[in-house]
Parts: sequence; structure tokens; C-alpha cells
Amino acid sequence: MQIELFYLAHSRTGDKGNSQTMSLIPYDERDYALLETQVTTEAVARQFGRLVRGKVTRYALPRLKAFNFVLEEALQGGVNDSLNLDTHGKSRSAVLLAMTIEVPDDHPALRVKAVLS
Amino acid sequence: MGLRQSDRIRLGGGSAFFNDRLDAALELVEKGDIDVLMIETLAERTLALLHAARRAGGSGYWDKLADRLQVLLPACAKHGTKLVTNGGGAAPEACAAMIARLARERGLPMKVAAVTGDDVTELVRASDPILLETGEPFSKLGTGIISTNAYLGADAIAAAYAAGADVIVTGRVTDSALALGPIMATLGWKADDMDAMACGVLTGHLLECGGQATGGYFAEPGLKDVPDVDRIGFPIAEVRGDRSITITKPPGSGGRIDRHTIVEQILYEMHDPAAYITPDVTLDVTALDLAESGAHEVRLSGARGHARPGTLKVLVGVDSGVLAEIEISYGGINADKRARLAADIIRKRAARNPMLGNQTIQYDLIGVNSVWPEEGAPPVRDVRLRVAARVPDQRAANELITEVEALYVNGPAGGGGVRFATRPTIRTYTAFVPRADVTPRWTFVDA
Repeated sequence: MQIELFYLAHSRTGDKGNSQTMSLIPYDERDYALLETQVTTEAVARQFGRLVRGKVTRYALPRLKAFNFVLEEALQGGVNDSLNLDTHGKSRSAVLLAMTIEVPDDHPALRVKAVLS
Repeated sequence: MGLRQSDRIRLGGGSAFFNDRLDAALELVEKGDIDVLMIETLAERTLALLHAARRAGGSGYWDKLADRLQVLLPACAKHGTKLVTNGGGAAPEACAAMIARLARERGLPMKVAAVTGDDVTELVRASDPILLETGEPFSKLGTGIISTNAYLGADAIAAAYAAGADVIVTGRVTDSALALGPIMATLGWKADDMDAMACGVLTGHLLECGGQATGGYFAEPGLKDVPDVDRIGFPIAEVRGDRSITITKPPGSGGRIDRHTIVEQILYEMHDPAAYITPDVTLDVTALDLAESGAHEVRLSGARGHARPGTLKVLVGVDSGVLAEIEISYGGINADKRARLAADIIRKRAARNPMLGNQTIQYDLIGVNSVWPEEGAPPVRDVRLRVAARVPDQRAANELITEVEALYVNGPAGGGGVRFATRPTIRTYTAFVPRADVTPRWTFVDA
């Protein structure tokens, strides 16, 4: 089944110059492997489309059971130059969490989604 | 009288930005049993704005700091809490003198120290470093330079703290240094002990954003709920000689501390988690051990340090014109189409206007595509057109405002609620200077 990352993981966005940093942290540590396989740099670049013009890098943190993404050329030159409403791009973690991944039909996140929606 | 060393120190993260909550900072001092209250106030552009204000005859520090200290200083004096802040902005010594006056007026026996040396205007003028963003030397920037400040490390703060300062006021230092300085002085940690420096930098990193470590900027209704989210307690870090950090919050406060809130904050604004560069050490969090050691309590150990860079980062602030933002609302059936038509009208008229023709103007439909990449999927009944441009001066900004206001009578049907704002903007450039060329200093300041 397909499900949005939103129901399996959380994320916080920060900015440094024209780059965005974005954590991805599973609610359940057991989902770390699932995220590692599917939330690849290519998949993230695809999800952001025209919002990110530069390279996407993923840092895996198996001890902390988390990932850190760096999205380059993502902020119209950065806070200095951006004309965006959300200059820092702080709301962009929501874009990452809207990405869908494939989970087994009995994955608990499907129930969470059913309850919330 | 100097400082007595100890095997532990408790620090509170009392402010993440210059307008952060005062009640939560006071709660840290009154109920947090903390040795040090850390007050972070300087975002990248804030300092340049303070330099500009100082040049225009202002104090050069954040004036509201005095109001806040009227509340915080007596509490700090009562509880024996030291206060460390970068609120000195463009004038740390003048700010320290203001604080010393305030303490004297209230009969508080507090020694106030100022840390200076971050203003590297002369050095940068003389050495003319290459700027990261342009690849060209500093001198090519020409006019409009407002500020040139290096990010100092913790050494001068540590020295002032060890000498018994009750309040330490800095200008630009790396945020984590506000915590690392007192930690070094209290635990007797030396700058060449890289894992110890890493532990101190991680502590500062976790405290510098205040409530972001304790359930702030975290809540997702139904999925990631935060108890008593309207009165989040700011974070407390207890750092021990064994290089562990225990994060808690004041008893009875709202908020949430667990693996999830802490990992979000550890990774906040971090690029490579194995190489988070600061003036004091390069922090590596990849081998961290994290344990939920109690209710709303997380214990961290295993921060690793690698050699710090031989250069210091310098931020150059340059006047960058005026940002104008104007909005108008459209509602009901077809609201987004009318908002798009309004944007089209502005686009065509701006192109014919000599003051706006060469400017980049951005058009957002708030409610449709302003923070979201996809356009117009669900039918929307409440759309706000936002027109934004960075223009050379206020006159050009006024031209754009006038154009949007004229939509009231000349634009699509039913537009309303025009609001506009303009503000001076500052562009920042990055340079690096040899560490040896920058001399951080500290001194006690009298009223």
C-alpha cells in the first residue's frame, strides 16, 4: 500500500544560505530501514521538483535512527534574496512528508492514517 | 573573586531570538535551579540592522533588552544565576554599561563583562578576502557596507566567566559559545580537549533555540501532540564532567522532551552531522548515545570533536534596498482566477512603469501556492494575492503599493483587504579570516 511519509515520520526544516536542511525521524525506530530504502536522494529531489535546483544529499544516522537531508539551491538565493512568503522555507518539511512510500498491507501507519483522516 | 570549579553545571536556554517569551525565561531562573541563563538574540541580519541603527544615532544594541533585564536581573541575582547574552549587538560595551547601571539602580551587586573583538571592519578592509557568494574580493562590494563581524568562539566568554562575571554581554559569537564558555570555566575543560568541546557545543546547540528542544515547533495534532503546548518550559542542560548532557525543563512546565524532540533539534540547521563546524570545534553527532532517562528527560553522551578550522567566519552586511509586500484578497467561486487576473494586471502595468520595469516581482496566491509547490488542486474559496519585490528605494516601493491599491477600483471584481508593508533589507556575504588575526577581548564594565 502507498502511504504518505507524514504518518510514519516527522521532520524539521532549517536554512543555511541557499540550502535547506531537513531531518526525517521515524515515529517507530523499526521503520528506519523502510525509510532508508525508499526515501532516497532521487526520490526527495523528485518530490521537491522545481523547488530545489541543486544537489540533494542524504546523511544516514543509524545510531540516532534518523536521516538528515541537505537540499541545495532551494531558497531563491537564500533569505537575503528570496521573495518567497516563507523566506526561510521553514514550511517545506510538509512537502517532504507528503511524499508517498510503499508499506506492507498490515503496517500500523495505515491505521493511524485511517483514524486521522 | 573568581569562579569555583565544579563537576557539573546547569544551563538554561532562555531565548531563541530577540522577541522570545519572557515568562519562560523567568521560569527557568525561578524554578530551573540553573547556574547560567543563556539569552540568544542575534539572527544573521539582526546584527547588521543594529549596526545601521547605531550609525543613525541609536544605541547599537537591542533596546528592548533593558525591559527584559528589569525582570530577569533581579531574579538572577536572587538565585545566583549568571546571565550570558549576545544582546550587545553592535555595541557590547555600551550594552554592558547599561546593564551595570540597571543593576546599580536596583541595588544588585553584579559584575558585568563585555566581550569585544568581533567587529573586524579594519581587518577585512586591509586583507580584502574573497567572498564566498561572489568569488570576488570584499573591495568589489563598493558602497553600502553596514557591518563586518566575525563569529567568535567561547574563549573570551570562558575567561570572563572564570573571573567571576555575573553578566556577560557579547556581540557576534557563535551561538553555542554562550553555553560553551561557562561550561569550560566551570568544568575546567580546555580548548584542545576536542571531545569535551564537542560536548559543550552540542549543549549550546540544543539550548540556543529555546523551546525548540522541549516541544516547541513540533506539535502535529493527533500524531505528535505536546502537553500544555501554550506554556512550554524552556530547556535545561545539566553537563557533567563525564561529558554527559541531561536535558530537562522546569518542573510543572508544559512541553515535551523525548527522543523525538531532541533528535529534531540536534539535526536542526545541521549539514553533515559528522562535521558541524564551529569556531571552537568541529562537532560529530554520529556516535551519540541518546537515552530517555526519565519523564521529559533525555541523556546524551558520545559527542565527538574534530579539529576546529584555522579560520573564522565573517558576515558582511550590505544595504540591499527595500522589500515591498502587498496583499489583496479574493473570495468565493472563481477566487483563484480573479487573483491570477489581478496579478496579470500588475505584471503588465509594472512592465510599463520605469521604476518597476526592471525589478523582479513575485506573485503568490496564498491558499494555493505560496508555500506549496502544486497549484490549485482543491477548489479554494479564500485566496490572497501577494505581490513582493525588492526594489532600490522607498519611492519604487510606493509605486508598487499604488499599483496594487488601484486594484480596489480597477482590478477584478470583489478584491478587498489590501495590506502592505515595506522594510529595509540587508544582504549578507561570507568571508573567512585567519583565526590568529582576530583578537577576542573581555573586560569588566562599570555603570
